[in-house]
Amino acid sequence: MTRKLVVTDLNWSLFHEPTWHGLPSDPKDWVDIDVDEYIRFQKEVGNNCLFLQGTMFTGYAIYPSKLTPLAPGKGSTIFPRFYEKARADGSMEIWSYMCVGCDVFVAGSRQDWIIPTSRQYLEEGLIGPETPWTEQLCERIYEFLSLYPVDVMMFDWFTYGSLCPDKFHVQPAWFVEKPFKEIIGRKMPKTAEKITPEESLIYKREVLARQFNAIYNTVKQVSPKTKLCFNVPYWEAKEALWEDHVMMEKTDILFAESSDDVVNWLLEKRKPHQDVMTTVIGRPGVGDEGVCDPNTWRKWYDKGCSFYGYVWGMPPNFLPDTRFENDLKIMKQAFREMK
Amino acid sequence: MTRKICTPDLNWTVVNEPTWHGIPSDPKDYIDLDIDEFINAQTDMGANCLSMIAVSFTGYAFYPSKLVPLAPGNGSTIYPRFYEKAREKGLEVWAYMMFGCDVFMTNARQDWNIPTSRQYLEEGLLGPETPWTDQFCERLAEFLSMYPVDVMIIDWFVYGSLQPNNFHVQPAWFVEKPFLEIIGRPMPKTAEEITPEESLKYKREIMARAFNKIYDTAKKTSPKTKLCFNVPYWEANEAMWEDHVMMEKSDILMAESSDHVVSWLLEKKKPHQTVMTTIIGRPGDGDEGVCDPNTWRKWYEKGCDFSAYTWGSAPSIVPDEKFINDMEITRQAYKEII
Repeated sequence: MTRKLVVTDLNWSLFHEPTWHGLPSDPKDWVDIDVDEYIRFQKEVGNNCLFLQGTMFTGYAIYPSKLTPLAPGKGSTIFPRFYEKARADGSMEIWSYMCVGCDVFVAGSRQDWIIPTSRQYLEEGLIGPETPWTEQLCERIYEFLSLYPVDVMMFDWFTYGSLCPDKFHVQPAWFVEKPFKEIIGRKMPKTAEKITPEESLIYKREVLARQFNAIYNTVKQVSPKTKLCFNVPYWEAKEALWEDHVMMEKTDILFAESSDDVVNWLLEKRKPHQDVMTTVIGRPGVGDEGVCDPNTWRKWYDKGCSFYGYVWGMPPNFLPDTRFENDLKIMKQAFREMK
Repeated sequence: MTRKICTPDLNWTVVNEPTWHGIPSDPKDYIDLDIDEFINAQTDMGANCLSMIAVSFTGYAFYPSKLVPLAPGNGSTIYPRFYEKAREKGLEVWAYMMFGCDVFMTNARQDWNIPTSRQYLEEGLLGPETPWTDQFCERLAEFLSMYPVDVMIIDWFVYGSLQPNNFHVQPAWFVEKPFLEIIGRPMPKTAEEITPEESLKYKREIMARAFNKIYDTAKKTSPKTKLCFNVPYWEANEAMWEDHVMMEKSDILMAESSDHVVSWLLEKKKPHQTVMTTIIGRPGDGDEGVCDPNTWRKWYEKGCDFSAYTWGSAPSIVPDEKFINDMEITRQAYKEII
């Protein structure tokens, strides 16, 4: 099955002033969302999958969690209502989402869990997989999947220290001390300069493998049929951090948050059980123009890819900003042509 | 009436590794709080006011807000249950919100943070000139319309640092317009081009505007609710606050200390005001003795009210053993205070 999935990304809220930009959504932004309308939008695009976050990367849950802060008002009833309706429909694969690398709430209140220098690359900060965060995240995953055993779980920002983790150099920190000794076989030095590029790479690969295994085992324990999809994102083909990494070996869906040469790399790497998904609408960052290009769809379709796209709305209206109109039109047509 | 408060501070939780310190409480930390135990912990100390946080400084609510993220599970039923039982006890009921920082907002709205404020508080401090003040007032109105408490404490009423008197105003997008209005010239590009006098004038006016919005919101929603602002003050006669509208109009002048700041507030107090000293609290480096319960008699004779707060290791609210001695002194003092 070719997966067709274009979603309104509730992680972010759109603003037009002073210039067009997205900000992490406020927990109250989407509390009055009409679940029927939200599902209808995805169907009208031509999706054969339905998507909704369980917990935003901002750090609030839209289901009745006992572990994560809740969207205010009736916000924590959103996912349960979505899930019920999506399951009742029966014809579509149900996706949900959690962010691994950042939880804005946790990053704000647990400053000492943040990887040193990561705020230079993402101002909200990226949380160290070596900290108690991984265990907390797994508890959240367990809680969520035991309530809502979705078909596919997307784990976003599976990264280390930067959204370009391949280029990030490991920094000394209290939480690096023990795993560094275990992995590298010598004591963690006091400065980053004393960590060699080779050590940095070995360390990142192993720490992320441990985190992947913790997440994978949790998912498979609580909801064995749930498939896993990890977004790094990758920026280049053949990044040393990921070549033959357990995450790429065992993930069910190899996900490119782009439609560029990264997709070819993933197609080369894919195993028989794996699907490759390209993102044809998204990545609205500076310098990202054309990286997610809906006009590439036929090429990727012919190569057997699945498709992902995300758009942003201005709360409380989740419907996409006019900027996405053209891309959406292309993908609606594309989804009609795909079998 | 001399107010006597001693409350477990649910903003924080104690961690012993690598050394004893407090960290911002996690939203799930206190969701199984036993309300009776929480109230008894205060009345057993001899408190005649009952205090509970409405919104933690971390940025989650203990009441069913439509505006603020909620403590998970049944966490948002905690304040309603506390309020009901506290009202039954007939004691003065207090609630708490934090103005200067909301950890969630400071991280989710980076451009609302006052530049350089993370140097002084790693979580960052929000600019009162940003949309934050309006959001805060909406929260306050929502809360007071549901729970018209007797006293509302507004914490960290600061600008740029927990020592706002020493903070120098920094250029930022949100400073541009008010700077021109207040100082009468365009905001310069660097902080060095702002004179100390301009910085002081600007901070005082911005904090006056914020105070007036908060005051008007509270009085409009719940006219009988008294307001208590904690800065904290660090020195007597801080230029930032001398004759400031906040000090003129607050109902309770609060010192988060039992040092010479209290004498200053006693000098400044107006007939409608009381002065509150904090005799347990301020556990930061170099703060030893700043909140000293042994000073109680001196302040009692001068007519002060008393505040104390303690920290536990979540989910327990039982104060860490570090507080035991101070609590014994305070318990005895509260027995003697009429």
